[in-house]
Amino acid sequence: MVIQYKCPNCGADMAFSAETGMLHCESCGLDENIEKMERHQEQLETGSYRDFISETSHQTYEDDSTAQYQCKNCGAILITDKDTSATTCSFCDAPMILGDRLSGDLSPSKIIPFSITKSQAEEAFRKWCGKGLLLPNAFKKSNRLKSITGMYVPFWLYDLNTRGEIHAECTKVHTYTEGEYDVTETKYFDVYRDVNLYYNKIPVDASEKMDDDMMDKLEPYDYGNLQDFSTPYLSGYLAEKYNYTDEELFPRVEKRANQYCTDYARSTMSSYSSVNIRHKNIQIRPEDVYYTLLPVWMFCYDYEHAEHNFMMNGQTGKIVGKPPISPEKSISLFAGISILTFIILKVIMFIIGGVWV
Amino acid sequence: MIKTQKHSIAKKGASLFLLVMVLVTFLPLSFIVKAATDESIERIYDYANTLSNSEKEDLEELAASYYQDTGNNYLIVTTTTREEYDYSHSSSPEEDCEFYSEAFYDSFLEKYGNSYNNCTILTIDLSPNRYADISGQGDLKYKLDDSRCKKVSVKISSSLTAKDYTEAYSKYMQLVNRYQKIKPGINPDNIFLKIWFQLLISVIIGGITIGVMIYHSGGKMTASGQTYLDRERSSLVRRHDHYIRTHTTRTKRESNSDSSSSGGGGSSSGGSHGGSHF
Ligand SMILES: [Zn+2]
Ligand SMILES: [Zn+2]
Repeated sequence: MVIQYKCPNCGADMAFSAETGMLHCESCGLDENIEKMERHQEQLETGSYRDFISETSHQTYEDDSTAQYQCKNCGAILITDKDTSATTCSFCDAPMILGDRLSGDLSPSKIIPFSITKSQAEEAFRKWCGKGLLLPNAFKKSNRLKSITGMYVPFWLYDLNTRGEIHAECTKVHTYTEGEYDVTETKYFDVYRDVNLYYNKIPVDASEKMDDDMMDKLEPYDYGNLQDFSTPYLSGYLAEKYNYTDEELFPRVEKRANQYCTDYARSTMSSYSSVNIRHKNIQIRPEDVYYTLLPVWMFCYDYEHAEHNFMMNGQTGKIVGKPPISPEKSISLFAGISILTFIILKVIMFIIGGVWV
Repeated sequence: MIKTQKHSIAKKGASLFLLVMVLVTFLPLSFIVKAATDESIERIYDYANTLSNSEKEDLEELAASYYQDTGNNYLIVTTTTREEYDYSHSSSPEEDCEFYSEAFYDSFLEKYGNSYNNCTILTIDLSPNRYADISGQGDLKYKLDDSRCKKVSVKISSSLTAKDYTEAYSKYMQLVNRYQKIKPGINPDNIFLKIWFQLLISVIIGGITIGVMIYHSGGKMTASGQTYLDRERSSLVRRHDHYIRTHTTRTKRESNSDSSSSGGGGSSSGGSHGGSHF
């Protein structure tokens, strides 16, 4: 089943606008409030929603890897990737939402809508490139942006309770002089902490395709704009369904919570000169988990026969990626810093030693 | 086209790097202009005949050129008998050597006048005692304190043992000339005063900076436990900090008598002294 939002005014396709946070019609300029629309859809569901779905679209074929959907705008048959839950028709560009991949077990509970538009994303990315000291000039100049795609990436957000008991041997070191002697006094302490910590909505990406490391670096998201999921938010963007369940990904969040808990306990031992953790027992219990779609702008670059991918947090604008490094610039910068350090060192030694040595 | 341009940029970078390094390293030497000497001052008194005539001439010339640059007289006196100058003898031959050096200095001043009072003296005692004493006089008494004198004497002792006198003497002049430029009280052999060490530090700092930049070029992790912590519900339930024991270590401090710039130890002599056997 394909969901497409038609403008009630003129019948054209409507897409989500990151600027206004509403559904927008390009042809007549109508903005529609998504929360009101949702109510409208619920009415449909209680009434003839099934008929509405079967009337407007149908799924024709599906196997493990791809599925075919028919665009109700132009009638074209669209072959989609098995994970895609929202896309645009490759023939007429109409937004298509694949409802069967957003229902039942696959139904998201939360979403952070895009708040950075495509043109803002491009602009911000260009600025970021300008600041890259080690980016090759050829990369900066050439416009090899192959594609820029806004995608809702599936995440699990975990609410956790972490109970941790930590035993550590800590020292306080005190040095003083006593007559002819330098005295070092090391006091040993047996330190124990029992912490009961609650963490809210630690995100873990549930998409197979996305690089975990890059996804982690995109954090943090501002949960102030975390909304209940509603399909119109996806209109005009790409979206994917999760590949891993919350249980399958629990070890990843467990590892993080473990580290967080240890960090917290250690932060209460900052008055010691050294901390040596002898034993720890950390129990992590999930309290709640939310299947959530988070906005990501993806930039694909062609440079010297290799693809370079960058991601931008579609809410905050933070950029991560693996940029190409210019060897020439690295060498010049290295030489520059080394020379500067050398000169500074010389000046310092001149001040101290009174001689250019 | 693009390739060659890149290479020339890299080459430019590398050659600029070399140029600056060379400049900074050798700049201090560039204003040491060796002027022709028409001095008639004798600075080498080789009573023990350790040098040939031509070797002695070369060293005189070297000492004269140092005088041109610094106004300091780097003197050398060698003896087998310690009888060329009058001094009151003491119980130890080392002390005698210092007294001998002082007596030599007095005669040098008598001969050339007090305007030549900034001297260092290398006294080579080739009597069975085989002792090299280095002494600083005038301003050099402070610039070349006891510990620095001692350092120079240790550094030339292997050449003296090998009877390579020209090597030992020119090294002596070179060392005292280097040391007297460095502010008193600082160890002239401090590793931070070594060019290779300064270069190493510069290169390490440059390398680390670039390494960190490359490592962070793809963005860095900014979310931490604090980002997701629910502060209202979280708490430190129990804690204890039990004192167990104290471990104490005592190390004797190095005595700073080395850095003092007073006169020779125990002797009544006027200059600074330091020496070693060879
Ligand atoms: Zn319209
Ligand atoms: Zn279409």
